Amino acid sequence: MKLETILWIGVTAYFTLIGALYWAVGGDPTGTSLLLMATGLGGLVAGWSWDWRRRHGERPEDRVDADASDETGVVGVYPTASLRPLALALGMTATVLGVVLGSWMLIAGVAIIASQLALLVRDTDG
Amino acid sequence: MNLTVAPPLTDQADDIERVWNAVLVAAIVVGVLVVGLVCYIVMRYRRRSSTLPRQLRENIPVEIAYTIVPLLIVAALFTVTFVSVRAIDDVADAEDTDLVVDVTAFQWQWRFEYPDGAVTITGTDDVIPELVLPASSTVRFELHAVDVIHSFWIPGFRFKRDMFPGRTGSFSVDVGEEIGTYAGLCAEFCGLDHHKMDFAVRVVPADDFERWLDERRSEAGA
Amino acid sequence: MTTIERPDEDQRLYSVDDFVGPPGTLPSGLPRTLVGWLTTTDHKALGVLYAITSLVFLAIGGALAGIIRTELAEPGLQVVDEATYNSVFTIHGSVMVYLFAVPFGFALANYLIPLQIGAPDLAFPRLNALSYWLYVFGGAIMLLGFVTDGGAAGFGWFAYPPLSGPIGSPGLGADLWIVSIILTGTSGTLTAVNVISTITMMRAPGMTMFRMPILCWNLFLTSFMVLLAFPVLTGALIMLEADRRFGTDFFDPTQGGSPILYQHLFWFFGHPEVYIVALPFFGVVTEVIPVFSRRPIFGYKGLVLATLTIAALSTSVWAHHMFVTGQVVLPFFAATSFLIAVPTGVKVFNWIGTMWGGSISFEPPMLFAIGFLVTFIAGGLTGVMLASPTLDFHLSDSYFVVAHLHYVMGGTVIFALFAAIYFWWPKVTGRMLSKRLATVHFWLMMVGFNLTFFVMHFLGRDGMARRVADYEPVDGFERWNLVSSIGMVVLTVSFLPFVVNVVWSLRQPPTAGADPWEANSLEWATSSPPPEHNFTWLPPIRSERPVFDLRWMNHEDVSATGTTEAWTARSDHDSRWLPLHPFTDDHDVEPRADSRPDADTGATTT
Repeated sequence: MKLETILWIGVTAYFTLIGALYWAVGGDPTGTSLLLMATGLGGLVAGWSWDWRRRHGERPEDRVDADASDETGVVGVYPTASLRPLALALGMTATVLGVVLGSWMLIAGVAIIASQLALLVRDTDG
Repeated sequence: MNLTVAPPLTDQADDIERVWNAVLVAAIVVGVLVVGLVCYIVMRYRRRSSTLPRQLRENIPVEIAYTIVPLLIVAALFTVTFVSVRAIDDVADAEDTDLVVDVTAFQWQWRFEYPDGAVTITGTDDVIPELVLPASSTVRFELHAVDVIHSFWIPGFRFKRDMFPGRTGSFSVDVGEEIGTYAGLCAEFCGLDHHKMDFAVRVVPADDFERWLDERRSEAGA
Repeated sequence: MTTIERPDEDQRLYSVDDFVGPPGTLPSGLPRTLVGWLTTTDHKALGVLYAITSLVFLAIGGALAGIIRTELAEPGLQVVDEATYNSVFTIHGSVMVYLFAVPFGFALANYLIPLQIGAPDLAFPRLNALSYWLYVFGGAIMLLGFVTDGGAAGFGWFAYPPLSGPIGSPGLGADLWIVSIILTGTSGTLTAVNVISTITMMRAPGMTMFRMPILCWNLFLTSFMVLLAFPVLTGALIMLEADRRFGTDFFDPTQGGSPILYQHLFWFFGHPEVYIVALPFFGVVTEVIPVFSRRPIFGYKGLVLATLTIAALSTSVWAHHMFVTGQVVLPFFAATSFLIAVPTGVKVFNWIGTMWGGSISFEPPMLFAIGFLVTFIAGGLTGVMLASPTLDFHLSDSYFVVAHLHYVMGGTVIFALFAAIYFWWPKVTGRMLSKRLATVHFWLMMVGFNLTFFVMHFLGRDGMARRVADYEPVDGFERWNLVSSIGMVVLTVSFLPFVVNVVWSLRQPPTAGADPWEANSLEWATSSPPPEHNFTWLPPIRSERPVFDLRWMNHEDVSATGTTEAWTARSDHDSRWLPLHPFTDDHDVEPRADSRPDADTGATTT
């Protein structure tokens, strides 16, 4: 996780520097704000990476001498076929389209999203 | 009026043309070298046997070289650009300006107004408007857009400037000595008849310009 | 396929088929029913769906381009009226960028990332499927504009207000366009989250970041850029829609709003966007060239650094699209725009360095990779020219820019795209495509592409603006427009051998085998097509080309250091079949026990 952490810290540092530089050479407020907000984006993930590494240390995929047998047993639950994504996409589409086409569609969309989210929670391991 | 490849009409356009010629040559040279290298490699190293070639993974000196050399090239290009843009992007002082023309763009025509609003030229569906300019003079353009974003492009100037509703843009040029009629057009997509927003730029000798201005004034006024 | 010398048994080269069994041993993991396809969350199925859908959009975008070129072949409005033409080029650009180029990159990400890093799927399979369906629905909505009264959106793919505002474009088509991109933008953002999570958390043991295929690096960094850029566009479009429908005035200058605000927001997205399009295809080429040059990628770490630099700089060049507004800091953006040429050039030299001293064969993927190189170099050079405001003042918004953008897009989403298709076709379908038809395809495409777009450089220089429905005979633009339109015909025809090839290939039995190209990365270590959850077995991972190392395991001077060691460290029982991660895909099933074989009896406990 060391490289990933360094990468995200680098992203954060880059945006701080370039945002400051842009402001200094007379950059517009929009661009400056966007660059500085990007610092927030980088910082968020950098912070998470740092913390994860602090708590979990190195993993088999970070070691140059690891082999497949270093990671056996259950690795994770990978949901296969599910109706949720299609239905949720329909709900989200109806919602955004409803903003343009009319509140009947917006309400239907929101209802679909809500029900699908409830079902998703049910589907997921508790 | 033949509108292809107008010659540079202003001093700034001359500068730009010089930069263009230099950069074009540089680009062609680099392109020919690199593409030539690819073609050479493709011929020289085509598979002739089943022997595995030497598995070279890196060569730090070479990699550094082909990072530094392009860096130097773009640094040179940037310097040339920086110097030339300062010359072009200038708006001349009031005392150096010989003529100020107000240019208004609206969907989908142009209006040119000469000093004191005395002379106004507006294009119509059938007649494209003509912007008459005196040779060997410094002209400042004040740009206004009424409805959407337009762009004032005179290829002979090698220059265009977008026109934003709600603000006045301006730029100056030192018109050269090329006499003739050249193309002008809107370069920012502005809707239905964007492609019809042409105008003509007619550069005339300075005296002829004064005469033209007087003629138009008397037509309009009296 | 070239044969390789096999002198003695203990010097012999391995073949992946030795380990995963002959073709057809394992069932393909792809769904078999319509419902299966509608509810799948498997990254391979979704990758295939993304690819097919984006190619359908390519056809639609191409048809629209056909209308444009037919109209522009001669002066006069022969084919469509102005309003229709304006919708045609708007949707052409929008479809190509939002619905074809970027989604095909996601197709690659979906299908290949888990396979290349040794994972069973992407990190969030249902989120992945959600992304796909949002893309499909969003795409359909954009096209729906054509059946509305006012026609589809007709304000150019940038959608600059005030033209795209409530007064400039009052029709429903414009609102549908905005809705469409909000949906597809969300789709992309979610995929980026998925990709970053997968690459960070799900690599196989030994697959360090610096052993990942460059394609994965590129998709990883592309996802950084997506996270940064897409939400900005979504925000800008929400503001635009609010202006249109809810009485706000973000971009209305008569009410104190600012059109240039939109441009800053749009291009802050728009420039990373074009690198989001390009980077996956750079990755493709970085996979293909080493395989067909029989060399490792030259300068792996340099390539990673170059890609990182490109990704970073791409967020800092946006206003070079706004040089002609007279309202941006010219030196800053000129400097960053010139700078970004340097890492791009480094990548080109790395690809050339890979080929230098290699043993190059001209299989279809390599042909198209070379086509990419040549085309992209041309596009990159005109890009450097445009980076200079001095030159951009004349060339911006002209056909010179159209030429430039199609050369860089052409290099990437035309040539490199087909390099990808021809390269991974055997892996996805288990069948080979005909080399002869592919060669015809390649040459027709090279000729057609260059005829269509090269002459546009002249048109731009001569003063032809972009987005014009028509031009006058007196403009002098006829000759090159006609040449370009003829080129378009050749380019269109070039797709025919490809279509025939696809149909022919799908009718062959699936006999390609796991590793038909004798390639490098992990996806070639499993059957073609891969089984559900991808791997029944993994080779040792000691470099960025584990499958190459596997084939050359008997030659310690060739395979990566530590490969043979790791191999012999595995016990005799598990050298052929080591069931890897047992996966539960049903939350009711108990986790299976440790699957390592019993040292005494050799029996596994599962």
